[in-house]
Amino acid sequence: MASTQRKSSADTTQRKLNTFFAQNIFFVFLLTICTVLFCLLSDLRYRQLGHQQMELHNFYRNLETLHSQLTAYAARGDDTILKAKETSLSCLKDSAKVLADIPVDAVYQRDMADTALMLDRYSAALDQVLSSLRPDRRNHSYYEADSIYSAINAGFRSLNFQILEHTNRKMETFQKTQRHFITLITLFLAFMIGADVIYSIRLSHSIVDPITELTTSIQGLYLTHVEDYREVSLFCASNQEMNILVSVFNSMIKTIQGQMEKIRENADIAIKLHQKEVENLQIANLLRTSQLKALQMQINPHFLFNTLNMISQTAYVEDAEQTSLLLDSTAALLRYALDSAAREVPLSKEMENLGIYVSLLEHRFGGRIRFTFDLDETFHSITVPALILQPLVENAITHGVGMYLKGGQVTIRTQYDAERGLGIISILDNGAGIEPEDLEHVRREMKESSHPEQKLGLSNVYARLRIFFHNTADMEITSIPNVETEVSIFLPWKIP
Amino acid sequence: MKKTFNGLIMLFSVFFWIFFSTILGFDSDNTENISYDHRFTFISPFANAGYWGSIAKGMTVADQTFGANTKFIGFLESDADSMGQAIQAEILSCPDGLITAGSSHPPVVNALKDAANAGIPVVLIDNDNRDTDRLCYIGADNYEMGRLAGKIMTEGARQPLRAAVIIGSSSSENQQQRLKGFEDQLTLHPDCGVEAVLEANYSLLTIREMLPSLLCDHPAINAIFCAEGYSSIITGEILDAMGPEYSHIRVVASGHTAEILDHIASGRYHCTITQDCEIMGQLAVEILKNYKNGVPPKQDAIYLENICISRENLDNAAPYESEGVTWHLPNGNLLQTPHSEN
Repeated sequence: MASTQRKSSADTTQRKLNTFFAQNIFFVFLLTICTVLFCLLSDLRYRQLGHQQMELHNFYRNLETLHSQLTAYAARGDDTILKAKETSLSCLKDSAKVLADIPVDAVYQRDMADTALMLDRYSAALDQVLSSLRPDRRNHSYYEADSIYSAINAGFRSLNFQILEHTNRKMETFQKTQRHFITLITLFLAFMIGADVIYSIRLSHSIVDPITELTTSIQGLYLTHVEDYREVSLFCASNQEMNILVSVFNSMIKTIQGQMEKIRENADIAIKLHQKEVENLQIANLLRTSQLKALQMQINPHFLFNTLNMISQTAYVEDAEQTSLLLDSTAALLRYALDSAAREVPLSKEMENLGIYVSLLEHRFGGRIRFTFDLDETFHSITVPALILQPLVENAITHGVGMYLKGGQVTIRTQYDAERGLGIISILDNGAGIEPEDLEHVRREMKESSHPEQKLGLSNVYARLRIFFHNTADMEITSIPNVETEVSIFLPWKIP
Repeated sequence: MKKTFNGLIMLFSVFFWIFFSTILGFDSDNTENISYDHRFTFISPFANAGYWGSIAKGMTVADQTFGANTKFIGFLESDADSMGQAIQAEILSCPDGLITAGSSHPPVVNALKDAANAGIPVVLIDNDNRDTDRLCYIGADNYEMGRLAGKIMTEGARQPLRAAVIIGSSSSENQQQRLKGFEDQLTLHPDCGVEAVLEANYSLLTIREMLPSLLCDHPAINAIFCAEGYSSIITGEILDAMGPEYSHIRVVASGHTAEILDHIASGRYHCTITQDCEIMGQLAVEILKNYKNGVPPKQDAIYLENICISRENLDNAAPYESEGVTWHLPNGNLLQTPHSEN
């Protein structure tokens, strides 16, 4: 963790800028030191070269002074030399030593060695002159000293020339070095300026580019919905601050998107609740209407029911069994209608009731209409609103085969479509059928009726099924004029 | 960032390495004081890049071999007085040995005697003089050289052979010896002899002025023996300038400068007689060094082989080489001799 922090702190803009400035200052400082050092060394070498020249001249000037003092001593007995001799000789020998150490070349070295040896001989001759008595001052030793002086003096030109050559060589070397140094410094400066420019551009890009990218991304918010907005990702290398900024921005956008999603979900729930309430109200309304109708019907049906029972018993007493059976069926039909009108029943129960109804109709129509049951009881346990099939069979008789004197056919069929998870109930008749224009009208009436509760036919059945099965059930009418008409109910059911 | 910093550090390191190399290169001296055991001085009659320069070159080689230092003093014009003075001046600096060309001139002889008196051993080269208390002589057997020249001259030459001899100086013993040897050789042939002797005093100008006159005055001359270097260089040029009627003159030269070798190559000269000068210089230094180390020379005269260079063996001959020799001139100037001369 600590290392991560350390690493990330290394990427901060401030750190980059500090490093950049520190490097530049360091570089300028070092270059300054180099230049000063070079100048100091140059100055030192200049002085050394000048000093060598001066040393040679001093040597010969001192020698000339000493010899002129010796000549004065020999000629006039001037004793200045007696006081200055030791100092002068010491200076001359020191100078000779310094000059001998100048590394000119082997020729110079040899000449200086000869000069130093001659100086020693001159010194010895000088001592002999000074130690001799006055009348003998201009003796052999003096002439020997004079000869040595002349010989040393003759070497001045050569030595001077060699030191000058040496100085010249050194100066040439120095000038070459100066050129190299200037070239080196220039190249290095050019390189560093180039590197600085490149580094500055990269640094500015690392600061500006993420900001530009972020700004562009933020501008995108005006053009797209928040929920469609994708999080910002920086393609360019960025520093730590920008990464944090982008991360916070993305986090903020995510929060907004999350809140928007919650609001939308809440709104959907509220809409569904409202729809549910409306449905509930419709159901309640239908129930109330049904109950009212049922109550209205309860007086007469109960009277009729009791009456039918009394007639049935009478018919039985009078051996009219057929009549008695019909009356029992009618009574059962009425009882089912009264007990189940506002309730839900299994489909099997509804089929049973339909069977009673059909038996009455067979009696009524005799051989004119034949009723056929083709049942698949797989899904007959499904709960359905009561009295949804009887109106459909009634419609098939009324609008279909009721007018036939013979050959009327009504088929009640159930089948389960496992693939689609649907239980299908079909009422099929071979009546006159419905013209296409009328069929459309019937379909529209069925599905778009504003007050289905006021109707007892297709619209009522359709509305009850839709409400009961929460709009998942459906009903279809198909008809071929003069051939057949089929009403199908599709109920959602899956095998448990 | 770290990589960049490391790169900069490396860059700085390279920069400083170059910088300090430059500075130190500037500050350091290429020339070091070389220690040596013996100081010798070679006083040459001529400061040139030819014969004498080649001898000096041999001495520099010997210096490196034997740990000695030899100083070269030479003259642009041969002058016995100046030679004598130079020797005297050198005696004052007490060298460990002197090398010079022998001479019969009193200033030189006296100076050499003074040197011997001062305990400075003297080796003579090129020209011997036994009156100088010299330690040893190294050089050609000049008499034999003269004889060889005569022998070569007469071999296959048209008879009678009438020769002119150009010498440097009649007072120079080596010149006398060469002339004598030459004359003695010619006397072996009855029809041959020396028609004239031209003393050129080692001066190109003198030779240029006097040789044509000599040839005109002595039309019988059909051979020239150049007993010294200067005439050997210029005689071919003069004969070419004088026209084809002098093309029959047979020339035997001395030394092996580039000009002489060119004349041999062109057929102008018949041959040249020379010695290995570098060996002469090397032997001189070696003898002095041995002497200073207590080993005296086994012989008081070492004669070098006389080599005859003609067109047949010209490919094996190379001109004098004297690179790196620095002459001290009497006026205090220095003369470096990179180019070949006499």
